[in-house]
Parts: sequence; C-alpha cells; structure tokens
Amino acid sequence: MNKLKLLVFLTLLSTTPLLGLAQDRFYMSGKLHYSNFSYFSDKQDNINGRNEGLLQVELSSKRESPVQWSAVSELREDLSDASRKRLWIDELWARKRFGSLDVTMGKQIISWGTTDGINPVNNINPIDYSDLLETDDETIGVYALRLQWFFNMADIDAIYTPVASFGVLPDIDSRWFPSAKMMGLHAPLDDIDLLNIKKNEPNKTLANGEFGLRIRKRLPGTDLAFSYFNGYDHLPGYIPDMNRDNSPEQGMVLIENYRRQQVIGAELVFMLPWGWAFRGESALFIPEDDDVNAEKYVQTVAGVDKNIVLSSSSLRVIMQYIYDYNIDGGDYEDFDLRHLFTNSPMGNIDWTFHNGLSLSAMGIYNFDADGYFINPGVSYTATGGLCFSVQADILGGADESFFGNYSFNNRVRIKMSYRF
Amino acid sequence: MKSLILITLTLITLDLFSQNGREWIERYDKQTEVNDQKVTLTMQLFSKNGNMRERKLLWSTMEDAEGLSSSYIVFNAPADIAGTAFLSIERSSEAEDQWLYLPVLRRSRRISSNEKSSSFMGSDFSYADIGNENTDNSTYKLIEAVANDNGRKLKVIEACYNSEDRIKETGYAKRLIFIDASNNMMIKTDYYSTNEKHVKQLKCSDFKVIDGTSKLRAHRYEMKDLQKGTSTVLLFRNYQINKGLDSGIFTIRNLENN
Repeated sequence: MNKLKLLVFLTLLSTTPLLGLAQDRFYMSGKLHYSNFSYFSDKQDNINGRNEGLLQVELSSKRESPVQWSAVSELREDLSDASRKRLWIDELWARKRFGSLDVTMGKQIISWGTTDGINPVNNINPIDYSDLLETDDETIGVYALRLQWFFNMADIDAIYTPVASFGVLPDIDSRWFPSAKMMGLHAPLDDIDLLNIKKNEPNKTLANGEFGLRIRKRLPGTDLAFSYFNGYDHLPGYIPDMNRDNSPEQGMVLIENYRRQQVIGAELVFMLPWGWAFRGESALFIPEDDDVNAEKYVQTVAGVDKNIVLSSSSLRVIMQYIYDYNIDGGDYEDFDLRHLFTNSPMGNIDWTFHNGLSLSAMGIYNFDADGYFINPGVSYTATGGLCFSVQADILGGADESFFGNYSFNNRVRIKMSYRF
Repeated sequence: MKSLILITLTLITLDLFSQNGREWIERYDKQTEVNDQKVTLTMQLFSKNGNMRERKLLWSTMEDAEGLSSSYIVFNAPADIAGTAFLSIERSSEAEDQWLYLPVLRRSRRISSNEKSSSFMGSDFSYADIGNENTDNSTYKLIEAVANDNGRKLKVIEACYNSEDRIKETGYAKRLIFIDASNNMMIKTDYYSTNEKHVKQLKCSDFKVIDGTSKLRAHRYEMKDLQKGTSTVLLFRNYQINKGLDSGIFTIRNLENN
C-alpha cells in the first residue's frame, strides 16, 4: 500500500513540469513548511526537540467544470520522531452535479459544525493526534459517498463511509504519550513498564461502516442545522491485555479499545447587534451499551465573536464556553481526549495588520480540573506568500489535570511556510 | 421689493442647480446600472512607503426584480487566500446575509454585515465606496456647471447624505463628484469627513465600451487615503455585462462546492 502511495505521489510530482501546459484544465497548489519544536525542559528517554518538513501538493479541477475533482498528497518528514513521518493521500475525490443534487465519491474531508476550534458535531473524520497540540491540517480523509441535496436555502447532507478510518494517538516514546496515572491505570506510576500497545481496530468490513445525516436551513440572519452520526469514536481507550501477566516485573501491554456510538447534534448561528455573531453547537453522545465506559454525555460549545475593522488592521475576537455534561453522572478518566474541556471558557484574539504582521493569542481554562492552555503567537506573511511564525504552547494547572500533567511539554514552535 | 426679487431668483437658481445635480447623477447611475455583471479584478494595495501587495479575484453581481443585489467574490491569488469566497445576499435595502467560505476550514461561516464605513477586503475602499449610488439617500447640487480637465467638460456635483444615520454609517459629510459631460461617467470623487476635511480621493480612468453593450466602464480605479498615505488600485478586466448569469452562483451550494 505504501508503495502505491509513493507511486501516486511521485507521479504527481513528476507531472509538475507539464502543469504549465495544462493550466487551462486544472489548478495546482500546495504548501511547503518547515517547523522546529523546542521544549523548555528535557525529558529522559523522550524526544526533546523536533524538526519537521511537510510538502502538500493539490491538483484540482477548474471552477465550474462539469465534474469536479481534487487530489491532495502529503509528504511529512520528521528528523527526530519516526512516528510523525508519513506519505499519504489526504484527499482523492470526484464530484458530479445532478440537478440540485451533488454526489461526491472518494477520500474526502467533511467538516460539520459552526463554532471555532472545538466542534462536538464534527465526527466523520478522524484526527492525527500524534502531537496533541499540532492539529492544524491533521484531519484524516475518509473514503465516503456523499450526497448533498440543495433546495430553498436549505440542504440535506448524507454521508456513507463503508470502511471506517481511525485516528492516530502519540507513540509510547512520545512526550505526549499519557502516563499510567493519566490513563487511570491504578498502579504505582514508576513501577509500570509499558512494553507495547496492541492495535485493535475494528475489522474493515461493510458491517462496520459509518453514516451521517445533516439538515441545514438558512433563515434571514440565522443558520440552523441538525445532524446524526452513527459510527465509531475514532479515538481508542486503552485497557491492559488480560491474556498476559501485566505485573511490574513482566511489564504491561495495552490493547486499544474502540467503541461505536451515535451522535445527535444541533447547530445555531445568529447575528447580534453591533456586528457580533452568536455561534453554538451541542451534541449528545450515545455509546453502545456493551462498552466498558459507555457513559452518555452532552457536549456544548457556545459563544460570540466579532470582526473589528480598524484603519490599517483588523481584529477578530472570539469568546466561547465549553461544557460537558455526563448524563450517567460518573467521572471521566483523567486522560480522555473526549473530555478535555468539561467546564471551560475559551478566548481567542487575532490582530492582523495589512502589512502582513499578525498577532494572536488563545487561552482556555478548565474549571473542573484546574488546568489551562495558552497559545500566544506572532506571524509575518511577506509579499510572495512566505510566512514566518513563532508560537508558544504553555500548559499548566493542578497535578491531577490533563494540562497540568503535560506542563513539562511547554515549548516554542517556529514555522516557515510557503503556499504556491 | 428689489431684495425679495433677488432672494426669489437665488432660490430658483439654487433649485435649478439642485435638479441639474441630481440629473447628472441619474445619468451616471443609468450608465452603471446592470442586471448582472462578472469581472476579473486585480487589487493592488500600496503602503505609505510604496510597498505593494496584490490580490486577484473574480467578482459576480446580480440584481433581482425588486432591485435587491447579490454578490459573489472568490479570491484566486495570493496562494494563502486562494479559494476564499464571499457571498452576500441583500434581503432589503437595510439588511443582508453574508457568508465567508474558508478552504482551510472546508466550510462556510455566516458573518455579520459589514459596516458601510469599514474597509473592503483590507483596501482603501470602504463598502460604501464600492456600492451603487442610491439617489434617495443624498441631495445633489451642481456647484460648477463647467470645469476643465485635460480639455474635457466636467460637471462638479456636491453630494450630501440626507440623514445623520447615513453620515455616521459612511463617515462622509460631503462628496464632490466629477462627471465627464461627454459620456456621463464619473472620473473623480473627493470625500470629505464630518469635520469638512478632505480625507480620500478616487480617480477613474481607462474607459472602454464593453463588448456587446453600450456600457462604458472604467478599467482602473485608484483610491488614495489622504490621511494614511496609502492607496489602492483596482484593475478590472474581462467585464461581462448582462450575460444572464446563473442565479445558482449566488448560493451556499456554489460557495461551498465550487
């Protein structure tokens, strides 16, 4: 399979000299970036700094062409962390219009939701969390058939994924791999030697397919949507392999545990006075009953935002609240990516100047766990599309909180990127 | 008695100038009036020290039977914003729905209607500057029947918004609009703030008749912000006027799936 991907990628690259001749038939675009991650403190036996390069090439049909298509391939190379290396197809799809119906087939990324950064209703595509904080552009495409029927300022979006895809979590030697304590393994932390994680993805059969449905309506000043998803939670939980001796002397082996779930979602956007907008979405998660952690829960994100245009700059302000309600009343495990922000305000400011300079800051605090994440950054986009950015990731809080547990991962990200 | 006659004559003359001012604006308005239009646009943004940033976009507009307009703008360059698209649907003369499609997010986002005085796409043009002239919103006075500019006969019209709300919304107390008497096209507009300060100047040039129509269009607009020292040049090409644009262009479907 990897050879096939390599072949497709090289084919795309090898055709680039011909692209100039074919510009009237399709577009070529893409991006190239180099990132350096430097942690403030070293951690023994872990990767303490990374240098990563990425090349993404996209070929796509011209606008208004009768059959639209897109092919996006990505090459990522990391000098320090082998688990970050990849060569794959991000997207590979074709779309045809039949009257008011759009039919899209192939590997695609489908984005539902209306709030910023966190979207409880967006469950079709898995995400690569191998670096927990570097999730821009880390959505994994799924092979799906998508039908979109548009009518009278409304649309129905139906998606069928015959073969489920799953997310990526940090490797054992990653600084982002959770400690035994964080995973709720109640054994002395230092006594556990994690030997391995056994992959345990559900069989890739039609019986394990996924489907989703979303209905949207646009009213004057208001957008509304309701959605339903029946498929897998694309992130695993971990359970000890009970078929072996997991004593401290023998070391522990973990098995991934994926659960199937239904998600019922609702979205709402409406305009407020003085240029403010309200955005909110909420999703009810109903895991299958036979799962060991089958708690039902509701996640809600709601907030306001405004874009303020100044004389030589524009300022974007976002304020949101994230609330996670466990219907069954139990406590979540400390390390559970589904429930990082159970009771959390979030703020984001983006100040972009017309000369290419941009200042940004994002902050989030979890009242329940007393943990926080702050992400200030500065970037400059030069004429011609070259962009330089520096960002800091600052995590902290109580020892028992998710972010408090990762406070040793405070770091600076330096990135140089070019879009073409 | 003599003074009464003088006052009456002055009022009549002022009224005549006022009528003539509106008449010239209506002639200009008629020249720019279209059912639909599609044009390729290069936007050059010049900083105070002369550095230039360029954006390329495709701009489609359409007016329905009730005179309500819809706009669809898609950016083609630079690469970091290529594919970003903007849809605006006017619901009434006072309200419109707007959405922005961001390719990175792969979804459209409803945004609030821009204030008329705010910058259009980061340029020196405001949304009020690029909108059509609504003659109901202003009073017009022909203040110079004839002026000369490179041998052309010009009409200079003073346009003042007729409500405090409109003045606050646009940021302008007064505009001096220069119209070429030979073709009814606006060639220059000087913008004055509420404290009578000359704040911006727009110059239009490179006039050509659009193929297949009798419509004349400027192909180059230059707006100078006299306070900031910046300027924006809009270069128009491939005008398509009244070609019967598909109304499907102005839909969420087109915004998200094209």
